[in-house]
Amino acid sequence: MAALASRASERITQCAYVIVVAVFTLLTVRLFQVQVLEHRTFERLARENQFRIKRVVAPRGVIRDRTGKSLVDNVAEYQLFIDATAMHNDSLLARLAHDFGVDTTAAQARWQALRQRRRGHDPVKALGNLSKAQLSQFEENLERYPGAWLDARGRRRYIFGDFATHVLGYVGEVTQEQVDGSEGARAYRLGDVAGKSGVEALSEMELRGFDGRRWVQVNAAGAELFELVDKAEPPIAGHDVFLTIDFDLQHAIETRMWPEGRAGAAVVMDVRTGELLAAVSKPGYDLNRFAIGISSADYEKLRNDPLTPLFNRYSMAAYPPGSTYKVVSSAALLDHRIARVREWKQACPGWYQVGIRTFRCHKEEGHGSLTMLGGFTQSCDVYYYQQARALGVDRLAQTARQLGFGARTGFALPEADGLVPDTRYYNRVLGERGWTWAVAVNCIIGQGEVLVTPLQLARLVCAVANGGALVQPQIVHRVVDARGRVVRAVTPEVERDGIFDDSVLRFLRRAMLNVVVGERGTGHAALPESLIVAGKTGTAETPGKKEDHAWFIFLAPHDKPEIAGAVIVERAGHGGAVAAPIARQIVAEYFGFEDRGVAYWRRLPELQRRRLVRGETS
Amino acid sequence: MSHSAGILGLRRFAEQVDRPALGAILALLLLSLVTLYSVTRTPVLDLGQRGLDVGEGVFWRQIVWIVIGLGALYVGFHLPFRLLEATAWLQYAVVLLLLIAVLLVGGSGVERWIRLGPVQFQPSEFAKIAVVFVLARYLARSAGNGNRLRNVILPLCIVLPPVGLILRQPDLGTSLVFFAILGPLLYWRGLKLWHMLLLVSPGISFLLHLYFRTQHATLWPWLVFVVLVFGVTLWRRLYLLENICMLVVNASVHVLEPMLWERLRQYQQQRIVSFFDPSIDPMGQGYHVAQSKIAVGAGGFLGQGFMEGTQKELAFLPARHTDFIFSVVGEEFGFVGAVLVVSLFALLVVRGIGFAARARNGFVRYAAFGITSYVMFQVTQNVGMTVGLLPVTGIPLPLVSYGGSSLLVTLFLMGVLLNLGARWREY
Repeated sequence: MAALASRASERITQCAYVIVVAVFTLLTVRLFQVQVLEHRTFERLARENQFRIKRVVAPRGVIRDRTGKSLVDNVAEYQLFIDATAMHNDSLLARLAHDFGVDTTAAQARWQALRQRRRGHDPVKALGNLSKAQLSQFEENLERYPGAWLDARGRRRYIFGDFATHVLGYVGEVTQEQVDGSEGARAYRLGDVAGKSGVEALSEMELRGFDGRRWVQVNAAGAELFELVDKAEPPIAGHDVFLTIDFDLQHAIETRMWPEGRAGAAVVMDVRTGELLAAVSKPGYDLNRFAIGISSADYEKLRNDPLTPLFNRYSMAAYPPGSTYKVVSSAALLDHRIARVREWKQACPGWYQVGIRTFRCHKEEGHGSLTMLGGFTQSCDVYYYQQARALGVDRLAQTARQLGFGARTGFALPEADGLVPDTRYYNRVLGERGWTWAVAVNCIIGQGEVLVTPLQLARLVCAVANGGALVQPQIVHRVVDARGRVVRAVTPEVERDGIFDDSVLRFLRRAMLNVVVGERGTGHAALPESLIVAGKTGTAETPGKKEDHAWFIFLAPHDKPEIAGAVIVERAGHGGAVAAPIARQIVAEYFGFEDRGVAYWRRLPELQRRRLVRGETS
Repeated sequence: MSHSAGILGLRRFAEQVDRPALGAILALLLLSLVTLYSVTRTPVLDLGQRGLDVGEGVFWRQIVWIVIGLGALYVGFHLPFRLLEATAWLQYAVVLLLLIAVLLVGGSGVERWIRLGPVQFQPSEFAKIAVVFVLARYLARSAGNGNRLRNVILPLCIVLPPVGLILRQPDLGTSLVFFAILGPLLYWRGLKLWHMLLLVSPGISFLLHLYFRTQHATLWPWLVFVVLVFGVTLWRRLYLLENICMLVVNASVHVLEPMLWERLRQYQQQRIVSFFDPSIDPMGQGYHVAQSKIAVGAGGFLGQGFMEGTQKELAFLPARHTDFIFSVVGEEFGFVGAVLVVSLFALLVVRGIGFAARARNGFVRYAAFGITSYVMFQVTQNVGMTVGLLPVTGIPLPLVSYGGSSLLVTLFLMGVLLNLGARWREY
């Protein structure tokens, strides 16, 4: 019985072995069939692999002016891609090079870069911005280009070309560092576009949407056969960015008001909120050239243009402020009780002697004896020279810093610091014994080492206009998502309030009014009809024997200021002659009345001029 | 037990463990890590976002699970098998309670996990352990003719409660494993293969009925099959009662099959239908198999090379770190690598049967064979699925697929198997 049982169990064991061996043999045979016998078939299937997950790049948000007018939007652009598996196909590359002028060595280099980053299976961009002829050439001869396909992407369109160049900024292909530095759901990939400068760069994260995905079946030639619609994830468009810029105003400044062939800048701000209504930097350049992809030759040409169109002048350029700085000097003199408003000073003979050096007033025959109001209104340099020693460079610098110079304004786009020299500065640059108090003579009239940006000056005028609040300049008004909901709205920021004593403020307002409407004012050209403007001219000497920079700073209307600004035209002559008329046109444009030319003040009868000086509106 | 147990039984382990079997286990674990490294290190083509990448964490977690699992293997090796036998019913009861708890906790929807503090585990995995031991204990102690229907029904009754509970989760694949343990154990007791065929005839009958009803709208082949089964029962001279039972069960399929079919979840229906005819659903389950076959086939004889596989990058390979990991092995290491994996499992299974055959204690014989069958079934099912021989059931490849509970349970069972292999002399 035991023997019988053991024989039976032996049979069971052997049978089990047989089954196990049979099953594993079956699996092995099947593996042999799939992996060895049918290898070629499956290899081909893998190569052609039917389904591709295609990224749908989200449309970039539109940039608009404060009223909603589109300034930058997107247009469809066709790009040519080569599948990674087709990169070995020399005849395809040769055909693409022949038919479309594809730079195959550049494409190979892109592919190698991808491979090094273990993304060797990503499609390789071969050509961007295909023309209509190229499009139809490709689509009519699909079978000629197996492994290459077209992809439509949104290309940035700068609707007004060189409008607000240095506000809008441009986009360009992301750099390797940007790709490596980004991760997660919104990681960049080579070939993606990102903001490089201006608001495009500033609001990159808001302008950029969330990419979507499509599952499509493609044939070996890369043509889409069908899409799995239920798997599709549509992209989410980027937010629209509304600028504080007023298109009509900025466009008028850039085109109508600006003297032909001159470089310079103009800033117009809302005096309460700090919103930039216009931020002009001339000359500009056509941003579309960057969106399409500028050639290196063209880029070199832009870079070497003597008027430096690539340079953002309204916030990055630091200029000597010239007589516009007398706003600061006067505030310093009053603050430190060096001079009083009604105090008559020594007569101006037209020059001022410090040791062996003679400083000249801009009026050779001299202004005679003046009060501070006269010194400011007539822009008498000698009036200020005489008090430079008593004030000293450090006290002047202290007030200048208090008024927001020598440091950034908190503007969101790149800006320069400017320069407010003081004892420490001169000791560092000229050595402790290398300078005398005479430097203050230069500084007090905004020459010498003093440097300011148009933005800083405009902000200062805002403070004069709004009662002494140093506001932060704003460029983005609001951000609105694709459904029209406001995602972010600007909030006015005051950096410092009460920067002027009341008496100083009263003086400055009166003095600036006098500059425009006073009998001996230098800024008559800034007075439009129907509205009273206050301002200050400046004529800044520049190094070398070139023409002076023409400055004008202004606020309007005088009695209840809404806007303030600064205009500079480089190497154009007198501020009163060149910059003041631009300010007048800006005011006319903003408040919506017709500008009738320079001569308005001169046409006014004496009586009316006096009433104007008293601050009465006719 | 031994006078030279050494530190924590290390010496006994070193002396008595079956080296080839242990070697095969360790080799498979190593292969798992290599493959997971490749899967997690290659970003998905043109996606790179929104969660289709398999995170690197998978690789590191697998290392942790392997370390814990090797601890479980070691424990399994040293547990006295008499303790396992004595507590078999207790384990069974605990597991049933856990399975019920899962259903209660989970409420509606798919719920297979229980959380205990930071750990979450699948009770259905642990149910396999308990069922193996309970069946081994029961079969070792029951006398009588293994070919009689009533001696088959009773073990079936042990398996059905956990199967029923797991089907409610619902997890079709895992519930099949229990039959894959029960069947071979019945065979091991002496159930003749003919009778085995008769036993599974209701299943075949079910599939035939389903296939011809849904695909061809005819029932003739099914009818022929039922008649054939009846013929076999007459030829094998079964008792009258058994004869009638077989006939009734097979015939009742005609009513039960449509009823059950309606009760299946849609995705389960889809899996079955698309296995019958993959072309009807290119993106469905058939699509997964097709993609898996492309990956394996593209591997060729020597494979694309470590980390060089392209199909896994396309993210078309579904669950490429869990159920379809064998496809990645096939693609990257080719026929050579795939056969190596299959051979390692074959070695393990052959050793397992060897342990069961030479053992003197009944419980050891059945437990060793049960564990071996469990491995055998999972390997066959998983590999068969990836090469398109068997339908998709969601059964992982033991020791290789990523997954904590499964790995822990498998390694523990491997420890017990090595344990049983080392103690074959004991009565």
